[in-house]
Amino acid sequence: MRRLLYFLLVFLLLFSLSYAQEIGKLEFNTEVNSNYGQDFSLSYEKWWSDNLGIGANLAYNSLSTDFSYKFLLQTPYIKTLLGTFYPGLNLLTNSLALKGYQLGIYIVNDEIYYISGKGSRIFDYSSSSKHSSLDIPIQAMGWYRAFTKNIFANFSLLSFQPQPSEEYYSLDIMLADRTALPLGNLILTQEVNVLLKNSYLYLSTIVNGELSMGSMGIKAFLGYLHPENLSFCPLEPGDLGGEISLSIPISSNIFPEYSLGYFYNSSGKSKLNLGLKIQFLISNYINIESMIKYLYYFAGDSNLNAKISFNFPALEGAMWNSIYVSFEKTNTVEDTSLGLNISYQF
Amino acid sequence: MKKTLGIILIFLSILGLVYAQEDVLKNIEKKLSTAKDISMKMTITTYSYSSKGESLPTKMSMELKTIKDPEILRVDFKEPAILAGQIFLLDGEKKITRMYSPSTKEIIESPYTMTQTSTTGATSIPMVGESGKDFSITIEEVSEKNQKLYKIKGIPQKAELKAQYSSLELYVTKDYMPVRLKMYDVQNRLYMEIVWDEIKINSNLSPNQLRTLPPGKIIRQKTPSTTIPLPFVAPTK
Repeated sequence: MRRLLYFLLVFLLLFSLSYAQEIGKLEFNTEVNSNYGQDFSLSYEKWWSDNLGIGANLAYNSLSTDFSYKFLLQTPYIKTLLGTFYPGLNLLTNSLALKGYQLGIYIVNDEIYYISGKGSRIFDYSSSSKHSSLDIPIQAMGWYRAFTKNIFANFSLLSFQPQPSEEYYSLDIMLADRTALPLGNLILTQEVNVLLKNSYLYLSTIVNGELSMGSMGIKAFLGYLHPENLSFCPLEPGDLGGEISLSIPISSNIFPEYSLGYFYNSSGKSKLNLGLKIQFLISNYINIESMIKYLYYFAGDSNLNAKISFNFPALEGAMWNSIYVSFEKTNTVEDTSLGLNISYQF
Repeated sequence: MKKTLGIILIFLSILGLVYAQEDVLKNIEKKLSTAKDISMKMTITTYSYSSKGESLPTKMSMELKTIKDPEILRVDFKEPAILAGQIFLLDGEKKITRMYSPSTKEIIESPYTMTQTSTTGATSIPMVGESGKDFSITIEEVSEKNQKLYKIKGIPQKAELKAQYSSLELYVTKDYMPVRLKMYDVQNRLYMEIVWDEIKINSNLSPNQLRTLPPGKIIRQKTPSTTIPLPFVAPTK
């Protein structure tokens, strides 16, 4: 009993349920890619509280001369997003990037939002994906509801036009339940999606679980995306499968995260997904992060993404500077990037 | 006359022993409280017992670094795996506490109230300083691995302490550095052992070195986080 009490006391030291907020962040990033020229990005965020903040991001690519921007205004009553952003509505659209706008109105514990623009599925670990165009017209209207401090729901109706002559609708219901644990959280999320296409209804679903306890964590998802649907998440149309990732520190300096996924696909695109991320804290002033992600299609194709970053905290940790190299190889593209990131939190 | 001398000698030797006890405890307190900075490794092993009486140890280890001026304490947790890599920083000058978590790469920052004063000195070691009054103390010299140590044994005198411990044993080096603390429960079974290792005093620790945490998203909290009295580094009011 005494032992339990003792460890509970230590846990109390390390975990607090208090209300949290981030104050501000200024970030500059530039990246040279062998295929896509040089990217520049400057972003700024300032938060006075969790529901009062502003943000801006300006980005430019030297090869395409594309200029993109994002502006954010968050108040207790209204949220406005304008430019290129990830709406992050639910699990099945968590990789959807959109160029357009989002308007949200808050009424007590509810948010009613409207989104409009052109979007595509973008993976932030892939240079080719990040430089692909956002070309699918998308509109969404939704309602986000916090039933309690730990139970949330999101209802959305999405319309998209993969071709000018086609317009599809999908209804999405997501429920999330968070349980606070002594050193972390358990978050369970369930989502059901019904696609209306040419008078037929098609069902997709995904379940996601995240358990974090101190320096350890397990994440897993299991899902099915109907072949008739468009994908705005890691699942391809027709995929049935899941992925599990596990974080267990090797020591107090080395933190690996292993992931393994398998997805059966009825159209012969079944795949195996292997991933490894490692963070190595060498000292107070330098740490190394590396990531490798390998996707093997049983039909014979494969994708490889790898990245290694050297991070240098400065100004007592308020600033961190990072240089990184990333590599990507698929059947259609092979590219290498060299990047510099400077981030300052205040 | 011989009898009187004998009594005087016994009295003087008892008196000398009392002074020696006080000297050892005072010297430990002085050594640690006058240090500008201290770094050490600390391992805490707690024991529970099965119905057959077998001891089941659980170990927690950490690295502690503290500076007296400005008042900063940093704890890097090493084991068990669930805590490995977590870093706790208490900054008395900036009046904040920070907690870094490697799994989320987040730094939770909380205000540090004025009523809490981090004390990394000797007063947090049981039997040393003010807490010594709560114990009946005896000191003897022991040899361990070719090293001579003071073994300070304390029997609790206060009822609330008696309800928890039968005795405490603190081992310190001849130059007054704590080595090990053993705590025995009311059934006289070892239930906690704290081992201090690689203690370095005045090694010129810099505030910047202690304050620099690995890269992480800083999240500021409006309310103070709960702090607890870790052995040896307990906050006092």
